Amino acid sequence: MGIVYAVIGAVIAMSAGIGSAIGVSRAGQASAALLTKQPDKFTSVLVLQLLPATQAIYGFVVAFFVFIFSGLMGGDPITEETGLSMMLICLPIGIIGIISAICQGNVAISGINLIGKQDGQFGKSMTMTVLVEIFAIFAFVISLLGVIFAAS
Amino acid sequence: MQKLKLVGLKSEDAEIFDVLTRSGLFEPRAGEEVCGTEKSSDSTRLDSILSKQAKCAFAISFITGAVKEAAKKAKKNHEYEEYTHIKTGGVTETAWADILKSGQEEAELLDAAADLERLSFIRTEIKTKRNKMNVHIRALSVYEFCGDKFSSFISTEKCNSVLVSGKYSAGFIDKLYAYPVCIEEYVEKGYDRIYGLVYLKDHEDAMRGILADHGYSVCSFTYDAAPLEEIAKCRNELKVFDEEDKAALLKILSYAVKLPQFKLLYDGLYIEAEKAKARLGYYTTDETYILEGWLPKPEAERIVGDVKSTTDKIDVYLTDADSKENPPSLYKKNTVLAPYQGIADSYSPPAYGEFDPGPFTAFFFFLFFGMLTADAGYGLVLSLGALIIVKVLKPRGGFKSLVMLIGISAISAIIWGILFGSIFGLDYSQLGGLFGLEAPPAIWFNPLDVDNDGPMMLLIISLLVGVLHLTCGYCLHFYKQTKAKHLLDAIFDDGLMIVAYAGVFMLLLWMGVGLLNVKSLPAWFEIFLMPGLICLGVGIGGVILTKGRKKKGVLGKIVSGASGLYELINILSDVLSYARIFGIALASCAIGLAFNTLIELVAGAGPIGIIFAVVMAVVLHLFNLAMGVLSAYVHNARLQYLEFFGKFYDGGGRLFVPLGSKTKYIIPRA
Repeated sequence: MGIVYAVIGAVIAMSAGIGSAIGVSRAGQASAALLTKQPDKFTSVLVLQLLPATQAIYGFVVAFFVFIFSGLMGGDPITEETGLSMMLICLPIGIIGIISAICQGNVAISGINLIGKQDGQFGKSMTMTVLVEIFAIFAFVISLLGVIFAAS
Repeated sequence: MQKLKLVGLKSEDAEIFDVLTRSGLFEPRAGEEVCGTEKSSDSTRLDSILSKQAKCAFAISFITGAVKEAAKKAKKNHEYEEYTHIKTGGVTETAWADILKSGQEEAELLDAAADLERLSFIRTEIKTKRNKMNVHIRALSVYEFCGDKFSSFISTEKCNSVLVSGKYSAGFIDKLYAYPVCIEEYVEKGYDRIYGLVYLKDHEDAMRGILADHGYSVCSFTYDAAPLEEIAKCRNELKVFDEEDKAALLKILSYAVKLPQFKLLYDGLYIEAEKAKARLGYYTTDETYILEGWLPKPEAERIVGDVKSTTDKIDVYLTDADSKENPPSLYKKNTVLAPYQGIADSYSPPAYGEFDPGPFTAFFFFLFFGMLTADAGYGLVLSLGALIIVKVLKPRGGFKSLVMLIGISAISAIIWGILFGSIFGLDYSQLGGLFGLEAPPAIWFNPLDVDNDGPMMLLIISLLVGVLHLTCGYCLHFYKQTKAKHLLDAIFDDGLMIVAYAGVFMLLLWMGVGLLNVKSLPAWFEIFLMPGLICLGVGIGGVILTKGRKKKGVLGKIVSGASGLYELINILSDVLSYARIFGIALASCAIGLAFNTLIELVAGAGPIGIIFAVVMAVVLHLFNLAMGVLSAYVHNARLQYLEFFGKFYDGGGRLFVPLGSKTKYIIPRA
């Protein structure tokens, strides 16, 4: 039963990808609109568009660690208590990952509009977009450490 | 960079400009006001050049479109075969002498462009007529089963006769027969109905009402011909249109031999336009002008010598650039590093005189690209692909830089793939198994080898290289500060952070052994715990204590110092950002493994299965490669821009763009 709870936790962690998909797709729409007028800014908008994908990577990392430490990929299976702990500790990255990725996508859209209107603003656009990621990083750290400590 | 200031005679400025343009190393700048002179403001010449250039651009795209159309038609019509060999793309190397003489054929080519414009209108008109005719034929086709002429449906003094069409509708005929009417049925095909009706004019409204209620429409054609005859006539007209269009297309294609001249003229006019724009920045008198611009320092004297050799009626002044004048930045030529310079330029070109981040960016981009791709097979495909593209397609500009960047960085992917034991998703033990040999999974470790802590090792390595990357950024800022003689700032702002990162490095080594129990790491790494904590504490503590050193008042110093705690959070967020290398590399390896499992299943189905498996292997691994390269480029670039450049790089400069360097179709050569 412990592995079952752990797998549910991995699914929760991976759900951060939902937010990334929404954020990246919205930013992609803004990018496409900008590129109709300014096709030379493709590289800049591509980087901004892909910034909200980070939360999905973090969710993937946590889910993978859950697989390793839960015994799903070999080794002794964990107890029900440990599995439940792992499931709950995946909630921060799952929930905060979804919300922060969507919000980061919105900031990325504003950044794309900014670089469309003014040259040389790529650095500032990127910095503003990345600031949103700090909260996902906190959630990632808590979830990852929680999975490691729960297993040990 | 050196600033060139040149005073010469207006009658000789064309020769001077030619010499400067040919050098490929002169960027004009707006002049500074000089007493007794006035600024040129007549843009008539520039407008004229731009108008001619637009005509050339139209001619080139129009001829190119016609050649492509001919290539498609040549498959069915041999008349167009001779045009399939015309090359419309690519760039050609052309001598400067030829470029600067391109204006000699200008009149002839512009006449040809005008003729092409006329032919474009003709073709558009024919297309419109053809579309209208097709619509007309479709409308006539509704009545094709009516054998009577349209004109036979006439009105007399008391009666109307009409031809109607519609779909079968229950009760329609019965309602018609409620009035005195004669009905001739022409076709009953499926649900389609065509009737000829003759009825009294007194019942006109009632008849129209019945027709409308049942969805029938009255034919409005009045041709003195049956529908099929009229359709045949229209089809003959279509043939005439086709012949006219073909004649116009062949006439356009006859100009295809002039395509190289059009391209040469286009770029020649581009250079003339750049010169005309530069002239708008001149300060002039009645006879003289003052030209200003930038020259790279190593070449400046040589170029000035060339200019002076054209005329002795000239005064030339060369001075060193002052950063307040916003001179452009020019990288030193380096074939290996040149592709990586685009990474910094995409963020922001370096300010004049600023430290060039190129070599360090190149090293870390190369390193991370390999880790993110982590497959020797993919690296080999990328390297070979880039080599083929560069040799065969001869790309230019940004596309060439990108291809070279990926081609060179793919070598790192080969190295890391060999260390990780990953060749198209197969590790060495799997590859050995194919040939009946035994081998360990990797030379170093395999990221997917969970039993031997492969994923943990990859995570530790990712974070460690991240710490090195960040430390390098601080070291560069330290160097920058000491060069600017801000030694105390260098020590307190950067030196202490370097110490803190040294502590993080040691703590990561300890974490591998003490927390994650990675068996492949030496157990003695446990000794790094205390030194790591001490270094981290000294670094962060030092930052907190010294951050407020420039603030006045105790409160100001304390508040600034407290904000130094934020550096600890920054360290955490910066280092953890490199966990993306672990995530993306692992994802790529896992997808490769999943694809190989699928391919193995299909291959087990016999000889046909093997064929399918080979096709699947190519398609699936190419897909994984494409997704992997995109992630490797973008996330790598993000790490450079944010985590690395954020530590030391100011940017805000502009690149050196010599006059005539942005030609589209030709590469000038001396």
